[in-house]
Amino acid sequence: MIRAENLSFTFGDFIVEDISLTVAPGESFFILGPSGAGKTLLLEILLGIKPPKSGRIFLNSTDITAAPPEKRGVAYVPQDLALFPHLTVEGNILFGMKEWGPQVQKRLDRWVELLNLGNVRKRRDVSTLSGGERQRVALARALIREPRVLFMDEPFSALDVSLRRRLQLEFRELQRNLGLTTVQVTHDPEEAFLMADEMAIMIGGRIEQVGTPNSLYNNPANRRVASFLMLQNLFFATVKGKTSEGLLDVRTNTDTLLVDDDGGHEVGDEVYLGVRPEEIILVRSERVEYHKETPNFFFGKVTGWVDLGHYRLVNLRVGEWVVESWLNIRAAREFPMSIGEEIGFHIRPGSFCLLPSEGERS
Amino acid sequence: MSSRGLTLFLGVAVAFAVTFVAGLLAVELGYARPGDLAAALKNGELRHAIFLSLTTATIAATLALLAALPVAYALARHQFPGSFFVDLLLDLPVVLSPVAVGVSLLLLLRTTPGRWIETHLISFIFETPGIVLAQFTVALALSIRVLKAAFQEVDVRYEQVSRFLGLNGWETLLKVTLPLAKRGILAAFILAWARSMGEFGATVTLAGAVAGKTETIPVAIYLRMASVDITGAVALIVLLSLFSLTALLMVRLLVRAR
Repeated sequence: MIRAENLSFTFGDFIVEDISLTVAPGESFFILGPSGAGKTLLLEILLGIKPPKSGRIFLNSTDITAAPPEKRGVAYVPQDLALFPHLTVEGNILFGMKEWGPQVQKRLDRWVELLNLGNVRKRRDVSTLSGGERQRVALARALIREPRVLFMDEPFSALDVSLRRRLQLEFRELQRNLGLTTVQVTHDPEEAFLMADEMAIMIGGRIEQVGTPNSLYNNPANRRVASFLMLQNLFFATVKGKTSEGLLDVRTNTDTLLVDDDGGHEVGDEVYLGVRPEEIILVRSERVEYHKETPNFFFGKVTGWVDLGHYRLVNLRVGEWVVESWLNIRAAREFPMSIGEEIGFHIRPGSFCLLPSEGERS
Repeated sequence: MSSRGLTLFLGVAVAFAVTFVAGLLAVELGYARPGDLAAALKNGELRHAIFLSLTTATIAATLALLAALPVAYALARHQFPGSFFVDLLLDLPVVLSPVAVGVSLLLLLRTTPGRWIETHLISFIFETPGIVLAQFTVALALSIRVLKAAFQEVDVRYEQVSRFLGLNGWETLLKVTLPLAKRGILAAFILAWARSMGEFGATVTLAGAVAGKTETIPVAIYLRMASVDITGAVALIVLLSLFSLTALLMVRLLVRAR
């Protein structure tokens, strides 16, 4: 287990204060955030490459804040992998093994098999390896020493998309089967959602929220997390009352919405209502009559759309709001629409999340 | 936009520089035929000068490299209070007039610790070790410069990864940094050696121009000219030029093979 307590550090003008986090044994933990959020810096502090200004880091219950890297028993795979160009593939994998013997040979064979490196293990020049092979050699080199925690800095980012996805899935499998404790940094939410058991959202040098992928996806803590996780539809509103069905009656400037009561809001509270584009349910014209009494049914004017491979992103204007909606590309083919046309849509009361207004409105 | 004028201008400038430097070499051959040069090199005194230059330059370059390695590594990897000024100061012997370096060395050996070394340990003034010391001084600064660049080219990530693979700072230096900086280190040695081979000003000031004793190739050239032995001087110049060209060629090949 790794635990960081009240870490503060500065790098030039960049200040990070009071970061605390805990990574459970066997967990895949991600630090996710946009570029420039200080993620790599935090990773380097956790690793001990850079010293924190204050705060402490524990591995299991040992304070390792001041321990030199080689005494920490953790492994590090940097973004560029840093395979040693002057060593062979086996020389790289065995770099951290101080003595040679049947035990080490056994371990080498095991990791070569686990990481599927059989056909490249005898290569003399690591620069002849493909991106995926380099990746796996770097992992073998780190894992053969059986580290207590594996730290990785965007190790999949240099791979092309299809290979990246396959290796991410393979690595997740491996991590779960072996019960590896891993801490990874990424700017790619998809990567984190795919591989994380738990993740911390870091924006502008602050950890905004920590939680499971599901909880972060469904209940972002604030507008910054929501926007980063592609929750584009955010509307300022006020809680006006509670209905007999246990729903909140929430009003924007122009409309009234019924929203599931999350138990955290009182009448009079100002909130941001968030709803994901995929939660906007478009209604075909012949079904409008049937849906007219459905809660949160509106008409929106189509202002444009873009086809993004497997889905279509449609912009609808409702009064002063612009609502973004995703439509599965197959459904989109069977859904005639034209610019300026009025389309009906509805949003289920359970599809909303309520975010604190934090005293601002836009 | 037409750039014919510019192309012409650049062509003339390059042609001038090449003609000038090649002319410096060619003019030597006008004073002596290859046969004369070979004959001159059979002279015992010249042979001694060549042997002396080769040995002193090799010793000086080796010592300079050994002294420069830790300094260059420290400057390449660490920012410490005053590192900017240390860097600046250590560059000085590269650009300072060699005669000034020689005089400074002479004065240094006249201080109390200097005198003690001179009487009890090793005598430099007008002696062969003086040649090595003079060459070492100018080669050291050059080695630090070249080695620092070589270490800076080694990505610090390799060292970090090595540490996390359980190697301490010393082991990382030996197993990662030095092997990765190998070509740069070799280039630094060759440049230090070539600089030592050509060293004259500091050598002549500290070790003097004692014929047959502290007579390196450059000193020998100077002495031949003073005694109007043009053939002898030219033979040594041609030889020195060959050494220097070979050294430069090796450095280029090392850099390109990177």
